[in-house]
Amino acid sequence: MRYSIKAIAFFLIVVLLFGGLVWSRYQQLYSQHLSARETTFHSSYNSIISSFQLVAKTLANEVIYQDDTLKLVHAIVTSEGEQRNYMRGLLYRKLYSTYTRANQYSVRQLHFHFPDGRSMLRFHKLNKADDDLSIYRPSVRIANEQQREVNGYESGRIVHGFRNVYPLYYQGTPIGSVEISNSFQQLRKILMETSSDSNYLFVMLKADLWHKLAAGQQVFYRGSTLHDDYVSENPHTCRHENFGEIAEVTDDMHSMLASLRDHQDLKDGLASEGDFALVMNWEKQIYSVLFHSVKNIEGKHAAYILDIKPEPVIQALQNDALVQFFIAVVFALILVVFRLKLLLVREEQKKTSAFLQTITSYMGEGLYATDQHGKVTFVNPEASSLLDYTQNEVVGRDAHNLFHVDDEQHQDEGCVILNSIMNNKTYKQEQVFFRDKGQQVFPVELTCTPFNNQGEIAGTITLFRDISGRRKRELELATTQRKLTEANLSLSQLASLDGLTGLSNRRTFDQMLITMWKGAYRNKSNLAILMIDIDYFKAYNDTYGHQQGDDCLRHVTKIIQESCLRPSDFTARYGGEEFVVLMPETSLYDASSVARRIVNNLRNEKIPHSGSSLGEMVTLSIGVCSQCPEDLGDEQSLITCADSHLYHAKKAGRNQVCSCDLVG
Amino acid sequence: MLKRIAVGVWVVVLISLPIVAFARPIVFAPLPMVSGDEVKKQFYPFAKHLSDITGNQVDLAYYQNYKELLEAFIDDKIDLAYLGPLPYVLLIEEDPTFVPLVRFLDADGESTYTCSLVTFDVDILNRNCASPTLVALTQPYSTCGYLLTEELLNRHDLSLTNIPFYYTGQHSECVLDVVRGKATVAGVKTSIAKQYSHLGLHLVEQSEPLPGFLLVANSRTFTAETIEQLRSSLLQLEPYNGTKNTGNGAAWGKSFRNGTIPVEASDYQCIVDQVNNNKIPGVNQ
Repeated sequence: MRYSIKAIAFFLIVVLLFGGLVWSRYQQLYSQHLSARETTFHSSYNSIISSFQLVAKTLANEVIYQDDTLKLVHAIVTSEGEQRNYMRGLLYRKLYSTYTRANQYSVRQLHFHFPDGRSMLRFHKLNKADDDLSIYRPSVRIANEQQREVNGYESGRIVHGFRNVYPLYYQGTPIGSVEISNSFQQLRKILMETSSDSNYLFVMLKADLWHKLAAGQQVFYRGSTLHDDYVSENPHTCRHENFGEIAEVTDDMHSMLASLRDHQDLKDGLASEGDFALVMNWEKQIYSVLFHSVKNIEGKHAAYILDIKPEPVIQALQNDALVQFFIAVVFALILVVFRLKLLLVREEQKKTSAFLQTITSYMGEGLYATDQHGKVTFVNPEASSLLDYTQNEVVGRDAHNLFHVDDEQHQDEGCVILNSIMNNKTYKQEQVFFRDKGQQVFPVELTCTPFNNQGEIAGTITLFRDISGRRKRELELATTQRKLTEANLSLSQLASLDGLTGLSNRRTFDQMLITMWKGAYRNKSNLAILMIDIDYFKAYNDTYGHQQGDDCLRHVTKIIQESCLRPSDFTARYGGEEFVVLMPETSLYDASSVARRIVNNLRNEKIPHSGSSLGEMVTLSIGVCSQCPEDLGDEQSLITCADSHLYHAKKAGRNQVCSCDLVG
Repeated sequence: MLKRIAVGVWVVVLISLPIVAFARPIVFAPLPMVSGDEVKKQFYPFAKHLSDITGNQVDLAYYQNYKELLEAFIDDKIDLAYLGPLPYVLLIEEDPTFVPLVRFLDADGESTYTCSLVTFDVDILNRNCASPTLVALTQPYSTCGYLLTEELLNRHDLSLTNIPFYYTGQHSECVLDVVRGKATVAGVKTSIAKQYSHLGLHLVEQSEPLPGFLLVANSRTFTAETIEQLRSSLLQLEPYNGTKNTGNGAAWGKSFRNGTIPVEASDYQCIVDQVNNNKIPGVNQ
């Protein structure tokens, strides 16, 4: 409903706006057309009136102002009775052919006047003379009284038109005047030749005419259909018998003009007594009516010439304006539809924006947006909180300069985030560093995604979270794990080594025996074993104490380890004062050699052993055995073999090496 | 009361019968030699008045000259005609059954007029001066034309049989041709000649008063009752007083708006005598 009202209001505004433009344009063209029409009429009118005056002046100069003509006029004025009439006849005889020719063109009246204003000779109405004109013809009176030429419109009793009255002189003496005039009908005839589709009417101001008329002459006129103050010639009277045609007002024209009578513009125009124009519709056709004010010789408004013309141009202008208005309405409708859609889209955007605002405001991660130049355009509250900046402090600033911390390896390459984004790639980093307002650096996990507008990268949206806490917990966890590993390793060592000598213990030896046995089995090689026992070690402990006994054990261990040169040889404490050495890929001979070297090296050490019967030195008995395994699970046979040879060595007197081959 | 109404209706019916019985429009012939537009302007209002009188449509019949008009009248193609004295006399000489209805008065209220000889040189008809060289006449069927001009010249022992003449078609043109010096003598209506007297014209000879223009009805196409009805109605016309536009007012032609008087065929006996004495070339010669 709200949008409907908005749409209707927008539609009305657009229609009013376009309607106003169309109306303004129409009025401009309409005014221009009427103005051009008025200009054309005035130009034609003035041209015709000027040509009337020129013809009259030429006629006066070439014919009237001739001595023989003036002499005749003088004779008429100065004579009386039959003589005057005779002279008047001669004047007519002299000029009638000239008048006939002039009448064929434009001259309507050639009229001589006596100095006292009486009519002397009317060429246009020869059967009338000697009547006093001064009463209703001020032009004649002025020409004779003021002895000057008078030009202009003047109504008469019968004929109204454009007068040119010239004073006449004979030998310096005024002898009356002559009038060369044109009627409105002649003007109308010429106007119609220039504009055949126009009709011209002549309406006279009653006040200018009525007082001039003689009794009974009022019937020659009738009230104008336009206004009571104006009259027009009455075509139903018999004036035409003497004065030729008049402008007939057809019934159609009469009705058309009558329809204008109550038009306020007409009343105003007539009241102004100036030029004006009206446009009217009549019988489904548009007409323009120009009212041209005709001034009399005193400069007062005396009549109107009406120029009535059908106006296809204005009709076309109206049609064009209607079409333009229709197009404007359609355009307005289209605009309204688009506007309505835009409003709906904006409303949807507002909802979406509010929704996103809610999300971004309450989300637990920082979010900021930048334009393609890296300037921040938006930050959410969480980001403001993490960075310790207000929104206003961040928006518009360069994100990289403001809070990014350069990667030490890429300091010269600018913002790696922005560079990556500009390549239209999403940038993800589990750990980068931001700097807050207090210049505190903190690690963040960051995902930055570019967004496009019309195919071009318009900016970025970056999500980040402070991982300081998580990082701390991860470090703590790693430390704990390392300690655990170290503890486990220590325990493992404790479980596999002999705590006194540092050699592998019996359990480790058992595991190693199986492993090496299997290796020898796979390699089809010999595995040799030395079973070593310290002679009379119980007596040693009894003699020197257990502490010295432990030292003796560690000393013997050292000698054994130093005597077994190969890294692959494995030495272990078998139990008590017994040691064992496993030597992969070692024949019985080689193993015996190693055993003898151990015995000799210990002998060379000369560790005192007062309780031994073998030279008061610590000595060793070694049982040697080397086998190539034939049965994968028969590793104990090697132990048994070595143990047997050790037995034989001890039995044979100790401090010696015994191998099965040697014994046998 | 009902009986009186019935008698009244019967009388009206009886009076109306001849008019109602006139099946076709009445044909009225105005003056010839006038243009079609002029015929319409001058005679239409009077024809409309005739239509009002008769209750029947009246059509105007336009003829180029009197000769054709008179032939059509005699052939019953015309019911009413407006004729000058000479054409009327020529008509009834041919067919006496045509009935004169009324005579029309002129602007001065006169029912008669005279014809005159006019000259610019007062002594042109003096026996001692040179004879007139050219005579201007109006038209052959004009009473003031050849017929009366011949009679007036005869008074000066002159005759159109010996002097060249020509027809101008209008009285005023005859007068002005004399002023212009084209003709030395003109035979015209006196009233018209006087209008131009200030141009130095001289009326050197004048006829006796002659009966004026009249309206003539065709007795073969009109009943006697209709003729009488027209006559009585037209005799009631009041002259136009110059200020009112009622009846025969300003809109009527100048020939009709001055009123009428009764007319008899014998009023034109003087013309008949003239026609019998003088043969008009091209008319009754």
